Amino acid sequence: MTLEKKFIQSYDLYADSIFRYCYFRVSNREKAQDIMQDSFMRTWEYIAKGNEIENIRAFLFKIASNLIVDSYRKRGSVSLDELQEQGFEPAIEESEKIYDQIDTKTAIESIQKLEERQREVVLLRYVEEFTPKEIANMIGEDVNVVSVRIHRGMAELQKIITS
Amino acid sequence: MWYRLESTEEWPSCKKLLHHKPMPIFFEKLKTVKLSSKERSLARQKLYSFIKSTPVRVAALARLQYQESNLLTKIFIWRNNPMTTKLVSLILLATIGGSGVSYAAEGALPGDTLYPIKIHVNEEVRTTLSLSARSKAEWSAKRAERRLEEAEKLALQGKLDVETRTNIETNFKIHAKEANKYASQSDEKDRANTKTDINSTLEVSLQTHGSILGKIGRENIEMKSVIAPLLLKIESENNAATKARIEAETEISKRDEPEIKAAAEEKLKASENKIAETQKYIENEKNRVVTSFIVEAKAKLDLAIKTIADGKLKLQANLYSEAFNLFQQASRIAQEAKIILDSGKNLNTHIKIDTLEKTNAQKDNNLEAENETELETETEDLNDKIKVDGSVKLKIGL
Repeated sequence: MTLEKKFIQSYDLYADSIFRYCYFRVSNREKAQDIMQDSFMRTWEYIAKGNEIENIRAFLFKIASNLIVDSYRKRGSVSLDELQEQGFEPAIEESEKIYDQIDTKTAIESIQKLEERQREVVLLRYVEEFTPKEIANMIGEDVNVVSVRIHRGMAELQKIITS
Repeated sequence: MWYRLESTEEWPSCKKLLHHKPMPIFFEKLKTVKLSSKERSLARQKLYSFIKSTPVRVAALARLQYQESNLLTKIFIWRNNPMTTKLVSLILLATIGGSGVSYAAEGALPGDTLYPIKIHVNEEVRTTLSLSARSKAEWSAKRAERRLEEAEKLALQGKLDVETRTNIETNFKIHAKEANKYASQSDEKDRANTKTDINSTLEVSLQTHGSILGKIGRENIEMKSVIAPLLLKIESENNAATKARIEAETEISKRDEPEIKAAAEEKLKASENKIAETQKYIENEKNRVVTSFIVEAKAKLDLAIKTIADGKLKLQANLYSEAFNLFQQASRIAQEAKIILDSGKNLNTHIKIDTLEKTNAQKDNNLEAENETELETETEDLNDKIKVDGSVKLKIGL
């Protein structure tokens, strides 16, 4: 299989999860798509230069995380107000029942309320199911720091949900 | 460790996802968020075009083929033989087929056969790939800069003629205009900030490349007369960008105090990041660029650091709008440092960049005091100067 085909296959496998991760972080569907697309483009550029990637999924998330941070740096963080003004666009598959959609919407609202750094690790740990060690490599933090942050994030999330 | 929600009484809609089950159900719900089929296939299509326009480099491909093919392994054993190298290159180019053309076109200059592919295929693909107005604006600003880089390379080789120069002028003007058009289409909340950033980027590329072109003109008599009108266009385009940037900054300064404060703090972070990034870049590239460029880039970086310090003082004095402008200025200076290094790599020559003729702050003040008519008059004066003196006396203020 050519590198091109392998890469397109990776897109088919991971586009949704990268998009979802970006969406929960930047809270804007268009920006999330932009960052998702950019993550794949940059990863491809890296491959095209002759570099090898051991774990493409982790690599894509790492690039996406960096791009998200860059977008905050350039534009400032997205406030919750902005988020609420825009309204949520969960794009749920049509086959899903309405009550499920309501639950998903509430779940998104809850995760969005989590502080930025905690949200990052909680999403990577429990939605994308990376190990704390993988997350630590990805975001350039110590594994203990990551574990503590996940723990606190989850406690915080519980508070948000039950409040 | 999985977490269990103990009470869901106050949050009825959560009951269905939680019941008495552990948190994974909550996260399963989040996993249902995905791209629509239309979005997914559109992005896939764009990515496919991008892959085709950015093929695996010959060297990289050679390495992979080397690992995979016995035949090629044998050929590569004699890779020191020039004929063999040529043959292998041809085989590899044939392997990558049409997409190789796009790759080769990336380095093309006006007049080259592949140049139209560079600007009409490769660059257009990138424009289509950018989804948001901001990223389209950023790419258009980059395209304007690419035109100036081409002019520099041609001028240095003594190959810049009137026709090519006119085309380059037209194109960079179009791209600068596009950049502003896209910036105006960005999210309303981000619009003024986008305009500030885009015009800052344009200003820096115009000033720095203008300065380098001016220097080439002074060192090459034949090129001088061809470059002179281009410098005027650059200066006038630069003034337009400065004006647009100041307008956007003024718009930001009219916001409520907490908002300006937040914007200034955000800009401080952005410029600190930019400086750190440039510092790293200088460190990485220092062996590939001639010393005069490194010295110049480092001097710029020091100035950027000093400007940030000035901005911080303003911030402490609650002068948020002034602080914002200084941080933006620091970002520009750091960007100049980066462009100087890039030009040093591209040109591979011992051209020394002009030192600061005017500081940015002075330039801003001057421009604020001038209206558009005065800007035009200034351009005419410069024209006269060239005709009368027969030499270029333009000083591009960095």
